Amino acid sequence: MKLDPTVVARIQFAFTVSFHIIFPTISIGLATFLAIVEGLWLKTKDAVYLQIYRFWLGIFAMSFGVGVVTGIVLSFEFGLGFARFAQIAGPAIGPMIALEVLTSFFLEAGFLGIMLFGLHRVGPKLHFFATCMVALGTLLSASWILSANSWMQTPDGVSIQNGHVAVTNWLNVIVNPSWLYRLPHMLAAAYITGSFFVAGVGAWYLLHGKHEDFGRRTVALGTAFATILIAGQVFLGDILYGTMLRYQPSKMQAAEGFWEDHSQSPAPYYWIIAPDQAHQRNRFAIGIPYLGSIWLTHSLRGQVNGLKNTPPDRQPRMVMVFYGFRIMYGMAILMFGVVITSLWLRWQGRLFTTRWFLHALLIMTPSGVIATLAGWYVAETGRQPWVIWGILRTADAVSPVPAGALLSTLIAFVCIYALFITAFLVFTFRMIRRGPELAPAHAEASGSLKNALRPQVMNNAASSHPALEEQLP
Amino acid sequence: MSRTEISAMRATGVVIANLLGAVFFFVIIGVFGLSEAIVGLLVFVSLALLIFRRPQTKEHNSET
Repeated sequence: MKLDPTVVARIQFAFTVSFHIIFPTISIGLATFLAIVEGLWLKTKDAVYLQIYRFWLGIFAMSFGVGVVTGIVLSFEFGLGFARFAQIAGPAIGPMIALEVLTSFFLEAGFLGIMLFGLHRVGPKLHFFATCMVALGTLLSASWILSANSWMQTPDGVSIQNGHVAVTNWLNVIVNPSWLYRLPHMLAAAYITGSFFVAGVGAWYLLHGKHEDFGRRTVALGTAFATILIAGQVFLGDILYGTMLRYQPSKMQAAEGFWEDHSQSPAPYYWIIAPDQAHQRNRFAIGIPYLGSIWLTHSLRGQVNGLKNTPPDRQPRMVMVFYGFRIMYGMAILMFGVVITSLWLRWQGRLFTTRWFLHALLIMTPSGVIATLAGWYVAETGRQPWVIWGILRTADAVSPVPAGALLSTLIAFVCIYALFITAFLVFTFRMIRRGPELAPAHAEASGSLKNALRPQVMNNAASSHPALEEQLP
Repeated sequence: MSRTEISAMRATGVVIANLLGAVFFFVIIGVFGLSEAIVGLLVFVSLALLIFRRPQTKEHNSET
């Protein structure tokens, strides 16, 4: 069997970037959550907030670490699998990646040590400042990466000279047409992910009758943040939809599952389709009548443009874009239903005692990660066949390396990442099982590899700092 | 009031709350226009902030 290097390079990048995005999404969400919780602790002196902070700090540190390591791999993959992309787009993409390192990584590296190990060594206010700086660093990092990726979606501020991109206006490169819409959408996604993650763990404690003060507080905080954020996200999502319809019509045409130039009127909203790309039709489609017109055109009988408006050689694969969008949107609707239910239960005073709702929160723990992954699949598969929209096709961006070399590194990535995810899940579940009362105020330096491999993060809290001991519940 | 009646009332309440939520969802995604979406979002957030202040019971007395 002859492997196509383009296909293998794409599978490799899809795998590594899909794995990577899980961890920054969690760490961006948790960093801001930690800053808010530490601020609440400083303001109220309520020990439960400190306990929440210390507990989530360990999980944040792990997700941050895995995110950084797997992010570095992506930079190398530009050279390994997409060298022609790096050659052509380097003048625009390269400085933005470098600026990410200069701004966010330096900020995070400077303050992460204080955040993780400094609770006993610096004053509470300086420690809070460090936490805020790390949260700001994660936000800046997301801003630069979203700027680079949005430039690939909606390139601006460049001209093509001798087959290479030449920057003519840096402001237009950075603040490209889709960045202002995609950045808040991604940040909200990360904060929602953190909120459901926190609420789900709190629900687990309440269901098991353990650490109930901690559980109640985290369920209250998680559902409150999720309520505000998911409403904002729904609003932002619709604005972004309109923007992408203007700049990348084929992506949104594929996302809605219609083929003909104009859909029937009124248009249904499809939930399940079996697209036949070769014959430009759906084998079958199941949807809700009228809803497509109402949601997509904001009218009762509006028609939706289909993928035949785009020439076949410029069309993305409908099946990927459609189902990515449906999973993302479906998760958003489920999340909205959960937060509405949480408001109803709060109204009745039964948020912490309604077991079926706590079970629902537990099931929804990974919902933010699933929705974010699906959203990125829409963004990336919907941009195809372009790697830089309208400038460079993905097939022309691949390195001149044999498919076998790409396949062998892909197998290596799968094996190593399997270890990463296993370690992350094992340690996270262990921390959750042991509970928040055993979380120390900082990670202990062990000095031996054996102990280092048995993290002390969850060992005896025994804090030697009298001021903090007073805060222990 | 019997336990079954309380359960039925609560289930009805959840359904009504989610219908109200669906109305908010349609407004916020802009079905009725951008300015209506912004107003809808602000009303939703304001209502949520008010509801967040309500006291919650701590006992496990509900299985519904």
